[in-house]
Amino acid sequence: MRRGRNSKLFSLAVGLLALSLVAPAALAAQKVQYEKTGPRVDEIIMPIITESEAQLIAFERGETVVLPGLTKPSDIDKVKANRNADLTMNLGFHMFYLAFNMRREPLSELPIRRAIAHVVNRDQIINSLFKGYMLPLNSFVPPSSPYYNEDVPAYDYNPAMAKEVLDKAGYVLDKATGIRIDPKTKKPLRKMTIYTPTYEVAPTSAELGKMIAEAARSVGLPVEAQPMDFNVMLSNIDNRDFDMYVLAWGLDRIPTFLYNFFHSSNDVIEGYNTPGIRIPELDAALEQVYYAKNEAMAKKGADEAQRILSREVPYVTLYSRPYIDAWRKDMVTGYVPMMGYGAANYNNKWTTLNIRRVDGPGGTIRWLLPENPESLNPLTTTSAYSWEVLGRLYDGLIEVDPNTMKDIPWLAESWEVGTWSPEKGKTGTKITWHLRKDVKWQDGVPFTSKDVKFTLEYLKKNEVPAYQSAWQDLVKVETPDPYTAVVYFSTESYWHLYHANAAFLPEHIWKDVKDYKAFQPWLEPHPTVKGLTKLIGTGPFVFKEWKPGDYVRLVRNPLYFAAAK
Amino acid sequence: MSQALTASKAEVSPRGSKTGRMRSRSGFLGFWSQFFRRPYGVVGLALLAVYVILAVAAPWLTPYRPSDTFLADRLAAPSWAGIFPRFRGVPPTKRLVIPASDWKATGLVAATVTRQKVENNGEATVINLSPEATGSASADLSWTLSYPYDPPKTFEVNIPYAVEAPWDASTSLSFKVVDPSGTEHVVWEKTVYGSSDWKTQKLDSRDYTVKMALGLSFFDDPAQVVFAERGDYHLALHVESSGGSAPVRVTVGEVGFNVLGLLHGILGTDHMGADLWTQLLYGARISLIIGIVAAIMAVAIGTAIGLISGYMGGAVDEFLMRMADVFLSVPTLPILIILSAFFGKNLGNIIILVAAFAWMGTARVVRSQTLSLKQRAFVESARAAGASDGYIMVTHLLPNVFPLVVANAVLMMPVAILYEASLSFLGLGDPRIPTWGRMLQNARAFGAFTEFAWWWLIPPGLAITLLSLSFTLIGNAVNEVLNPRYRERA
Amino acid sequence: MGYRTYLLRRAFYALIVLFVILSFNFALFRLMPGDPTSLIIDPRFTPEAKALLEKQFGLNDHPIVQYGKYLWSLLRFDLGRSFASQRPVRQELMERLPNTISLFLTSFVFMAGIGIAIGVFAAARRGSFTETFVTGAGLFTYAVPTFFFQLLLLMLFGYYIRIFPIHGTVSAPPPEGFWPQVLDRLHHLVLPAGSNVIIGFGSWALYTRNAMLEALSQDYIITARAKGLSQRAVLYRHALRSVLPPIVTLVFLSLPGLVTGAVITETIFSWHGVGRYLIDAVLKQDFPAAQGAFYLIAIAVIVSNFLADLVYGLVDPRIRVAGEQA
Repeated sequence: MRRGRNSKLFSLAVGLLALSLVAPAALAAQKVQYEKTGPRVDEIIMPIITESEAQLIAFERGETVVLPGLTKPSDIDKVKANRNADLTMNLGFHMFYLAFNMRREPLSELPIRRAIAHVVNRDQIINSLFKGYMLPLNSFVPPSSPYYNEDVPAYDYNPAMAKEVLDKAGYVLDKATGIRIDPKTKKPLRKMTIYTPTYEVAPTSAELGKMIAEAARSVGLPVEAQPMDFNVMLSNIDNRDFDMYVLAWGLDRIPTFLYNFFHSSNDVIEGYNTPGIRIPELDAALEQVYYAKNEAMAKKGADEAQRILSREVPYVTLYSRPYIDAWRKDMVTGYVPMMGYGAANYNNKWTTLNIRRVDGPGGTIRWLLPENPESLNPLTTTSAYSWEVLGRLYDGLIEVDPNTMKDIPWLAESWEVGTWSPEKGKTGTKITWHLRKDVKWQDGVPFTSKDVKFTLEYLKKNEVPAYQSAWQDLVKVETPDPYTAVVYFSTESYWHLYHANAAFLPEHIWKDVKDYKAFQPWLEPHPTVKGLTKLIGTGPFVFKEWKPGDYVRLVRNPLYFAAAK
Repeated sequence: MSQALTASKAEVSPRGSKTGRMRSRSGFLGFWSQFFRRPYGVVGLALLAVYVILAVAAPWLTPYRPSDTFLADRLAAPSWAGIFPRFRGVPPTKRLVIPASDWKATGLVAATVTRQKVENNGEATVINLSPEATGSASADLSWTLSYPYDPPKTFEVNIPYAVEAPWDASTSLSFKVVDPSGTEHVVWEKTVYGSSDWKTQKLDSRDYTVKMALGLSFFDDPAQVVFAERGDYHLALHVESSGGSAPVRVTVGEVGFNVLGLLHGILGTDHMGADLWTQLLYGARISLIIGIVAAIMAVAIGTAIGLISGYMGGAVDEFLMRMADVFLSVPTLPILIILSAFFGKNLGNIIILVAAFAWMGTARVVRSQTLSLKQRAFVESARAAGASDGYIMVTHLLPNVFPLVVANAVLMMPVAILYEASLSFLGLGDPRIPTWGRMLQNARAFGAFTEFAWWWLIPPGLAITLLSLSFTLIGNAVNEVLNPRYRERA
Repeated sequence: MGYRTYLLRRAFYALIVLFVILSFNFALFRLMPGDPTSLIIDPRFTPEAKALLEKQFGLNDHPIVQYGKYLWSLLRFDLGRSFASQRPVRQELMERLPNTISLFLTSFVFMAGIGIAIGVFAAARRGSFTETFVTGAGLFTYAVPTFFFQLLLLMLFGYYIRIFPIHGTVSAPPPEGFWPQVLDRLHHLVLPAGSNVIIGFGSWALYTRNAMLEALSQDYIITARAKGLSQRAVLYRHALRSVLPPIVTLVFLSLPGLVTGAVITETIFSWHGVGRYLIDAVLKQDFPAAQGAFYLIAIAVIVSNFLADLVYGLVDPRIRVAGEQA
């Protein structure tokens, strides 16, 4: 589910973090205090400010209490100079990487890929482009993930080693041209290009491509960076018309991304296996991850996959962006730093519940929205900024503990993951949810297993693309009683637990919606309750108003089941 | 907003004149003597000359290339801004290479220090340690740096070193900065077991490792902490070896020490520490090329269409003029935005696109001039003599409309320059080329406002303004000289 | 040729222009590399899901079918769905249109008002400082890139001396009450509209001045003067009246420029309007959105051109015939 609830997964052994990133142990060891009740303010005004400089000024003036997701070093420096600012930093699941097209000569040759891996100077990239505010990444799974395999060898910056690898493989340097000779063709290596987005779109990526190309040329590999229009680049990548490119992934806790990126079945046009790696033993390991019966099996498969990937080098991973959020500590308190998502992200339920004004309970806080949300239809929007709003209106069946990263029962009191037999000789997954009995929609209608059934079946009936993972293997949903929902999937995978954890829709509102794409719940008044729209959830805040381009207004949900006493 | 108004002004309107003109130019010299009688024309020409000189001489006027980054720290102010109180005491860039002879050896314990030439690395300091006798040996080297400035934002250290030691020796190296009040900041520590080949340790104050060595958090700034005071700093290198069964030899090459300055060059730096003066100079090249090439193309298209339309008349005329109507009705900037996104953002495309939407005015003017010319006797007689249409157009009509065309071309140049600048500013320019529009776009996108970096915003804008102005002045003067009857509008 | 014939002719041309632009638009946007699925970069968004989305957007139809659908839907102002937000483009444009119109009208009224007033004033006092000022302002308009001037104002009065808002069309949330809200809106309009006015009034003043001077040199004015009419009466009763037609025409002729300029002004001042929608859509390669915005802008331009023709023909009968040649 895209940016939905279930993108937060899973227990993350905190100690693991400090091991491999040069990461601050202090960051990993944070033990934050938070309550599972809230919210503690009456109203959130979300001013929409798109220019980063205007955002900084708004923060300085107290027109927003938070600057979420700071990425530009100059912005961070600017915020640091503010005595009233408190910065929180959390490791995330972001991965920036250089991909090789392994279908093409000479990148099909391992020594070439290894040599390039050895000339990438992550520290230089991070210092000169990001002023040190990124964390070097040298593995296929970010170390913040519980599936990170720390025993896999990494390719460190070592140009001497790069030369040695090339020399040994017979790529002799032609002193006259400075270009190595391909031992197979006896000709100088052809020019290879790294596609990067343009300076306008992503100045750092463009610069980074240039730096890697220069480094590669210094060991005799004729590599050049070519900034190009982002969509042209994506289209070229989709059509496999590239040598190398740089791009970022926003990953999550589920290690299934490994399957999507490197399984041979995804080496199709527009598939995510862009390097075109096809290795049977890798496929086997990845299948073990994708169709895991439990976490242990997934871990085993992921470990093996990382070992093979490190050997084959389809990507060179470069850096990972931590979540850096700035808070006006003189105005608010109670924000909760959270591994994987940061303190300000909508996936972080605890900040939403715990944030409060320093001058007492209730009142209004102002919370920056860095883009206009464009749409508040939970089924069609693909914008993270829409979810910054929607995320405060909805609850998950499961939430995540910010300290231990373990699952916390939320709308569901408990659950069981089991198996069933969809047909003879096949095994499917059966997930049984036991729902809380005191949850109400914001219009007062109780939240029951019928809503769970309705939502999942609605997604399947309409084949909602953004929620494909939720419905593609879904067989049926049974509701033995109003507070029990049993969800049946046709395949066996532990991850279905998270696939079945959607942003649930109120059946009594959505059952009449024929065309989900045309539905604009925030513009239609609620049929029975005055002052509400059809955009309702069970969450801590109620949607009030969205003036496009200017602001969004949310108010406290008086019916919230976890309201602070 | 002013685009359409300005574009319409670029057409030199022949309205009100039905007389046309015969060959009345008094030659090349005559033109210039007339031209120089118009002071604003002369001012325009002088301005243009300055631009041309700057553009042509760019490589000699700056030691950098536009793509050179981190010449100083990001958003460094111009050097001469140091005269303002706000920039007093701001550090300039210092790139020091500490020669081996400058190190002062202090505190030698079972150690000697000598110097030696090394291949590719100048002269190296050789520290001979004899830990085998006493169990441990150490040496301290120190160098004094006078630093009378405010704290910098970034410093870098490069330490090339090699260790020759028996396998059982453990040798530690450390680099520290001692500030004027005597506080020691250990920036780097490294322990080598046995020998080590030549390595260059690069330290950067932005590194997390440096922050950790200094006991700082992720968000702290080592440069601000270490260089908090003004005065004499001691850069100190400490070498210590123990446990070895034989003498240890540590060779330290020429240590580099850089402070990235916050004052730089003629116009300071941008967000990547690139030199803005260089970008401005190279931007002049691009703008001149765009202005001249696009205007000439537009006017050439316009002249051809105007001549054909006016001379041929009938259906051809109708078709060409309706086509001009369509082009005139298309909102220019939006269509350029869409087309440049479509055709790809390179300079050639932008020039062609600008020209493709700027020929209509010239076409109309030339057409109406041609209409009146073709009634004249000399055209009639040429036709009677059996001259072909093409021949008449080129040899008889073209020379007569030429003065109009020239004036139109000059007045078209600022229009083309402004369109390119607008496109670049909107992020649709050629990403590989430093243009003034892109400088403005960068200034807006990368922090010129909050830093009040006027040195980033004003020069490119002023450069565009003055260049447009110079073309306008020249164009008006040319127009008055060549087309004296059409000068009813300024 | 009568006015009616002239009018029909111009209307016919306007329709041709519209048709050409639409067809061109269609061809262009079909050829663009972007598609809805390339906006979605998510490892779990499988190729099948992408194919599904493409089908939903009707991208798999034959181009002729697409073209027919396209023309029919544009006639109904059905501009399709944005790839980015998946909402109807028409609705998104309608959300932004009031903002663009308010910026546009404010700029326009002040620009023309101030420009005409100063132009008349300058014509009345030839050789004065005002006249130099008008010439200078006209030149300024011509040479200074709008966006540079706007950036300067923004830096100076938005960031350095913080007296004007630097983003948005209203405060978030706006104050209570009608008049406070009007004031709040105006406060947000000062920088974007003000910069347009300063940049643009010069050419209005210059145009008015020249037209006035031309009128003042006409025989009937000289006669009126000779009859002993006061300078004031000559100026306002006779001369001004005779230059009104060209000025009214200029009003309509300048509309397209203002509409077009909205792209840059709205981008600089984070103004949630149609122009910014266009540039955002182009940068995101969201072609239904870009196409919709361009369609709206093109229609505004064509309509204002047509109105200019209409008014011009009305006020200046000669043009009905001369229009053949213009």
